[in-house]
Amino acid sequence: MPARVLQREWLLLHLSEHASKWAVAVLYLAAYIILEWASFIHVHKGLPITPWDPGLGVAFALLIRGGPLSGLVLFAGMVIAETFVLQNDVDWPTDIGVAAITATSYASVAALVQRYFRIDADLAHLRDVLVLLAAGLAGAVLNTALLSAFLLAVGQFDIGDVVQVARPLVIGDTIGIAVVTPLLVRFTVQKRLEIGRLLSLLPEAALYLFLIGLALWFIVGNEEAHGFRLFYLLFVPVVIAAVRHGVDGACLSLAVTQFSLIGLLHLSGYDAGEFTEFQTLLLVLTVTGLIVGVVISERRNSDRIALDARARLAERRAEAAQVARVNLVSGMASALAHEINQPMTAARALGRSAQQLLRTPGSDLSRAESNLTTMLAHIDHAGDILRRMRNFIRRGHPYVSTINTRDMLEEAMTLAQAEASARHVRVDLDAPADLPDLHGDRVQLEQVVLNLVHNAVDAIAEARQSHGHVHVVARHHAAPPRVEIGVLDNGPGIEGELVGRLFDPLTTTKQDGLGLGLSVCASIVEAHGGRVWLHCGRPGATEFRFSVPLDRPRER
Amino acid sequence: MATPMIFLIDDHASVREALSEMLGVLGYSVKTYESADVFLAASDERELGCIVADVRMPGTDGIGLVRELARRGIEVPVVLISGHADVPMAVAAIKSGAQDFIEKPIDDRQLVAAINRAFARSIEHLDSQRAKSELDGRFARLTPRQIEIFDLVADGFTSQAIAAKLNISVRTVDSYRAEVMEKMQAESVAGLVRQATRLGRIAP
Repeated sequence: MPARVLQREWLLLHLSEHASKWAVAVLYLAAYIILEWASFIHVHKGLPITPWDPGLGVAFALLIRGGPLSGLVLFAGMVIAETFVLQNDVDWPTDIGVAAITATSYASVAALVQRYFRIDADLAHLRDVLVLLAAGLAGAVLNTALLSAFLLAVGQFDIGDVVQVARPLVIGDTIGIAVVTPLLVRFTVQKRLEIGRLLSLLPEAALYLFLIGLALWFIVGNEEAHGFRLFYLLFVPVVIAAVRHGVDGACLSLAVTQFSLIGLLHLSGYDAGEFTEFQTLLLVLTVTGLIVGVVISERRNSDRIALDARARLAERRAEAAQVARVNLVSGMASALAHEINQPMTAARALGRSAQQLLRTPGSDLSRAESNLTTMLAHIDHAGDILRRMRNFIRRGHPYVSTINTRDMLEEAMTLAQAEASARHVRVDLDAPADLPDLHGDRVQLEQVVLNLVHNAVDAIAEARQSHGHVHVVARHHAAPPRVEIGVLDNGPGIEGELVGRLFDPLTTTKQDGLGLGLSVCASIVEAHGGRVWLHCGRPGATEFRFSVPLDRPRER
Repeated sequence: MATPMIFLIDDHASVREALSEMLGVLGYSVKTYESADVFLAASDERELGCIVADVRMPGTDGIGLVRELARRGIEVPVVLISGHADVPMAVAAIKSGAQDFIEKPIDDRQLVAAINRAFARSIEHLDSQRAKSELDGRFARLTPRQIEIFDLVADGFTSQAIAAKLNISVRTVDSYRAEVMEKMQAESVAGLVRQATRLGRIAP
């Protein structure tokens, strides 16, 4: 790509980065103002003192994610909200003072927290949630203290006001942060939302809404009973959601609970004192819900990570096995091509004879027919070798199934025999029909058998030995229950110095060998819970064996 | 004349049987052998024909077979076939004295053409061999005195010169000459000289 184009793209990228930063700031600002407006219920001496400050939660999320400069957004939001939306009757220097103090308090708490504790953006750990809650509380206390001092100093408040206002202020700020910040942090971090998954959750969400609605109706709607006593009912949907869906479930159910509760309390005309009581209880519910949610999420995450790691390992092993298989077949390619050539030669000759017979009037048609029948058998034989070869080197994911042991061995024998025949080595299989089934990856187990036979054939052919013979024997053993498969040959044997590192990668005696075969065989057999070993290395009676256990607990 | 025979040697039973069937249908007489060693052990009779043999076989391979036949002085043309055909192998096959070299899977027209060429060579060879042995037979019937006259005539001596050399009359020499010409069935002195050359009595 030309440098000029690169530069332009780079420029666009950065422009869009800046643009998106501004867009985010504006969005948060708008959200802040709207929430301030919506949660503006109680006033104390011209200042909004509702014990519920969701706008602050929005601003705090931005502070945690965007850094202390985002404090400016909070400041601007507060000034705009106080001046234009809420239109209180406090003079503007006090307004600006209050906004500046609040913005500074939370910006500095957020900065300190990010500096010394570093909250993970996706709130995946209990520690992160606890730090966030503590930061919210610390910010609320600091802010309340500073505001009280400021308002006392400017003569807006007296000591009585401070006592009356301090608790709702601390509770409202803390709960605003506890409910809204995790929600925003979680849902702005998500890279993508799966619509299908969300739709499938709809019935469950409706159930939670119903439960929350029911609990709230008991608590607020019931005039007779005292609502507070039934508050515990709200724990049910929140804890269920947290247990089922982790921290996300907790965040959403808490937000719904909080917003509905505030709405209901407001409509039912509860006063500021009762509001504060409810919010205190709700803070307990919020902390509980978040902690349950994050603990569940944490456990799920670690389970998923372990599963992923296991799947990745299997994938890696399958890739290595695939490479070794291609290598194995390419080592056999010339012999296999020769072996396919034989049936093709025979088939062509028989086809030609049949043609000649059919062209000659009065010739024996049954002879032509028998030629064609034999010809088809030869073509099928060639096709069989090709098909096995293709299946064998096809790239595939690890696939675990129940394997008929004898079938598997016979399949491996098709290719093994083809190669052996081209190299004038005799191969035979001794496997009883009643061998028990194995559990594992069929192609990989075939690979082990074929690899061992190939090595034996290779050793015999390289030694230019006539009357070479490879014998594959499979037996069922009872204790411990396993199938043992041995590959014996009458080749030149294994040199003593090689015995110790036979199964190490990159050990090879072949000029064009990679030294992958046996090490991959070992890793395949081990993945099946068994082992592979050199049973005897003597010339004339060399034997490799591997065992696969039968009672292996299923993985995955 | 006996029908020419194809001796087909391949260690793959399927190929052996199929080629034998095809050549049989095409009208040839075929005998099959599973290895060069089996063929060599069985082929004492000098039959007219040609050998079609695989190159790669256990034991004596195709090229080894051609060499072994040459060593034994058996002059049967050999057509080699191979599924592994490459240039070095083809070169080695032709150098060893094989008549032809054909790749598997085999094109029957190519094989039939090669077999026919081999037969033609075989027949030609047999003819010249037969003529040679006939000549040998005639020569063997000459008496020592007639052989003496044969050699001298072939060497270009006139009757007078021979008479002087052997100290006999010209008439006697002429009579011997007539006997020799008759026994050797030579129409002229030139024909006799050619016979002498073929018999190795004089340098060509």
